[in-house]
Amino acid sequence: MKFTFSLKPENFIIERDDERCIRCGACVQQCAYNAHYFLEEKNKVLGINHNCVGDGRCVAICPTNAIRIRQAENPYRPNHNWSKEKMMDLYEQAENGTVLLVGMGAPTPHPVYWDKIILNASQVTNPSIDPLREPMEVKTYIGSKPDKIEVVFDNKTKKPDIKTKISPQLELEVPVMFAAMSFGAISLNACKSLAKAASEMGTFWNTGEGGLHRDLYQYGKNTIVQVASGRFGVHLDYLNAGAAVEIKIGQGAKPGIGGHLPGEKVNHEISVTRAMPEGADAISPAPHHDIYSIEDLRQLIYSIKEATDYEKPVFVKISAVHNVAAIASGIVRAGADAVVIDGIRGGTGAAPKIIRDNVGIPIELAIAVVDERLRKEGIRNQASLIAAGGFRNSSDVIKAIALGADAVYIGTAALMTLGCHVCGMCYKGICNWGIATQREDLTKRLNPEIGAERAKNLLKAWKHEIQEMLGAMGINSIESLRGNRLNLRAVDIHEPYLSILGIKPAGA
Amino acid sequence: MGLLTIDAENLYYRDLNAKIKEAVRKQNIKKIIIKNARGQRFIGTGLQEKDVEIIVESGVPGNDLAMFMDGPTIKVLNNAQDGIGNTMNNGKVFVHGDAGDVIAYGMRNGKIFIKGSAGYRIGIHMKEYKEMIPSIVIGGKTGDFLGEYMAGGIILVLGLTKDENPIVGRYCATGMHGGVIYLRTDKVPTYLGKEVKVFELNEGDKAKVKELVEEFCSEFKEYNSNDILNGKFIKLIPVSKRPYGRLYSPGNHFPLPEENYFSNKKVDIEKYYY
Amino acid sequence: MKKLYFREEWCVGCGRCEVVCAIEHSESKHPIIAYFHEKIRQTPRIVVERKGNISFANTCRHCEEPDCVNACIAGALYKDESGKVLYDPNKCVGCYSCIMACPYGAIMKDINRKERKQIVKCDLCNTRKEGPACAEACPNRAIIFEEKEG
Repeated sequence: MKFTFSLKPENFIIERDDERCIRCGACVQQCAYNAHYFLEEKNKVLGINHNCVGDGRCVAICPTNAIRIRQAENPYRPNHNWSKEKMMDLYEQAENGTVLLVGMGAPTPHPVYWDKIILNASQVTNPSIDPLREPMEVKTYIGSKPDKIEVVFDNKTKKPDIKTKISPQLELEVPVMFAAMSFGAISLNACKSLAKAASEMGTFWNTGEGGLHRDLYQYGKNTIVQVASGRFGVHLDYLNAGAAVEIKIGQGAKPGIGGHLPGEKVNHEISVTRAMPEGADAISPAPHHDIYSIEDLRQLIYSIKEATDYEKPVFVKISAVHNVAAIASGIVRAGADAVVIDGIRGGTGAAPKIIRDNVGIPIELAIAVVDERLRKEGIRNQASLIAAGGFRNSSDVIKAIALGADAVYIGTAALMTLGCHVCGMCYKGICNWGIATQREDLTKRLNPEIGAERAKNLLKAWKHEIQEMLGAMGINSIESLRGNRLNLRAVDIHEPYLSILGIKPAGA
Repeated sequence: MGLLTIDAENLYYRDLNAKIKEAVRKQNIKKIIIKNARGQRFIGTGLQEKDVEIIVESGVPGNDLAMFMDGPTIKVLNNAQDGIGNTMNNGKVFVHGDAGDVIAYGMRNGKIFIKGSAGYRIGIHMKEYKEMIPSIVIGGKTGDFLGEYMAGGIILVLGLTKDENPIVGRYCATGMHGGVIYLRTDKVPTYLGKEVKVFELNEGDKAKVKELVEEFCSEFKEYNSNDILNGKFIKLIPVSKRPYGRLYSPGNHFPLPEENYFSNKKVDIEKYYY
Repeated sequence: MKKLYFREEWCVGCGRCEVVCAIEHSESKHPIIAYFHEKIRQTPRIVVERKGNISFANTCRHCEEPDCVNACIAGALYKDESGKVLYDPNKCVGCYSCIMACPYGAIMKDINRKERKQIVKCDLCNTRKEGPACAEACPNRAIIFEEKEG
């Protein structure tokens, strides 16, 4: 029994209805954080509030719904400057002297512009379209589009054909893809769930920087393989296995710094996939050490195209920070087939808290300025724009497309379909839902049959909702919505953000 | 016959590489000689055939030679530029001259031999896994940041060139957490990364070095392997697999439970309070 | 005939199957009344076997040629037309021959019944219109209720 003097308060309180508790012990057995225990002497199941992270596993598993988890009140005096969270972080650093780690996306109270943007609907002059009765196209192609198309007609048959050589494209049945989450940050069962759902739905999933596990090569046609600065698991078979290659320069949760997978999470399977020794930390350096200028980026893009015989589109993923428009312009000119921008709400398995909460800009603004700048420079067609970072539902997706994105990556939302409760303890490696862990007794809790079904359900539901919203706007093809900001209006957004987003206020 | 000679004068790099790929994959060519290389990039990229040899007879090949390469042998009878063997997976590269910066970045397997000196950031994040152990031998000196973030593999620097420069630059092996660096010198480099310590070579090390030096001399015939092996060598290895383990907040370590609520109802209070 | 199949690789060892089996076979079918306020608390017909990291649920396989029916001296166990192996608790004399005969250990003593000796055994939730409660309650599809060849 440890008796160290600590100032750590509790974050959650476990409330057990003793009348309903049948002492079955499921909560005790299921909680990997050891927040419940059975006291035989009193024949009671009790909770240790300090250990509870609020991930809802016990609440879901209890057969009699006897448990409720409540957020602990602020035990300190109300102080707008010194919130409970700020005080707790300070106490932790005073005790340990370390960099605070955290998981998932920034929960900071920056404005969420999606909630302040509204969509149009057609009524009198422009009839709305019913997607159940009329064809509605949400298919999207990601890749570089040519400046012009030259059509030739066959002399004999008079049939038209396209003479211009088109760059390789990805075909998406719905403009939503699963974001890059590495095998290592999440479990193999989670990867399998997403890969299977993406394949069945006609969209794509991303390997993240952890390489591609051999069991997942079968989903290669729907896989986007990522090349990050650590170059983990990167070899020719890997590059050729995917449908596209993504160069990761940065991510929204930790712009400017590298990745870090703690040694505890590097087990046998991870070490085989990443080709590194077991138990060692997997460190991805901050920059790619062969990219120190935009010309170097061009060199890397073309080296990958050369290695894959120019058959696959090459994306470049950056965090949305200041000057994201200028950086995106440089990336397009460097030859990328798509630019991926990741905003401040982007999630992560582990990142320093101080970076996650303070670096990066909201993705809404980033999409607007990148789209605007690329159009102004006349190069918007040369690369697709994919946005990521905190998309919660299909209306966020539609608004992103209306602001100028071609497609959207979902990360947190995808994990939530597998059971994630966004408790943010991913870096500890003992996720109760079997998602952000490598421990076998925990990863078996995520059955890919169920996970794939749920992820697919989400995409199906969103696809249908997108069709409904398009129909309501009187549009029957998602291409007509792309960058079409006239279909958006703002409520409660003021200048200069209104101009940056390029939309009018509601009523105007 | 299996031999193809290409005159690379005025040839765009995409066309040169397309010719090489066509020859190797479709025409069963096993040896390609390139004359008048004019800085074409990515030579050898995307090739997986193990029995293919490409010789750059004249001219200088461009950046990212043998990038992502997975099997062939490339010999450059001249100097070479930056990025040789970038994320290389297998094969060999010999350079009869100096090389540029960022050689062997993220290299996973295979061998690189540079007769002369190389620039900075050599061997960053080299990896190794089981029998896949990449190695790079540099006959001359190197610049700063040799072996930064190294996670595996072997770097051997011989320092045989007759200039006044130190054998390696500053910040050698910073962030190193795997692999080994051998230097043919008796002076410990200044500003060495704090993750490494200097050691004498043991029998296993000496065998590894001997093997690499002999292969080096069999290609670069002006050097004698005995003369080289008689010199003084030092070894740099990281002292921790987890150099950044203490930097971040302690993730509470929860081991796999051997017993659980159902097998043992008695509370082991130790595991609940930490 | 649809039967229960158990997949050890997905069992998380939570024990919900045991709990809902007891609730389903109670009089009130209400979790609190079933556990605390009925005269006889029901013994679950399904048991989660656990050792270290491995767990799986074990219950009657409703065999084609049931050893238990052959062993029953009182004629309480029988195989009905649909193929289920059922029993009449009133005929059971508590000799426990069936428990010894079952190669899977699927039949258990009714430990909660103090006034007489009796066995309990899975009846595939014969009277439940949605089918077996355990398969429905399992959070990870470790118990599936389906028709399989062979």
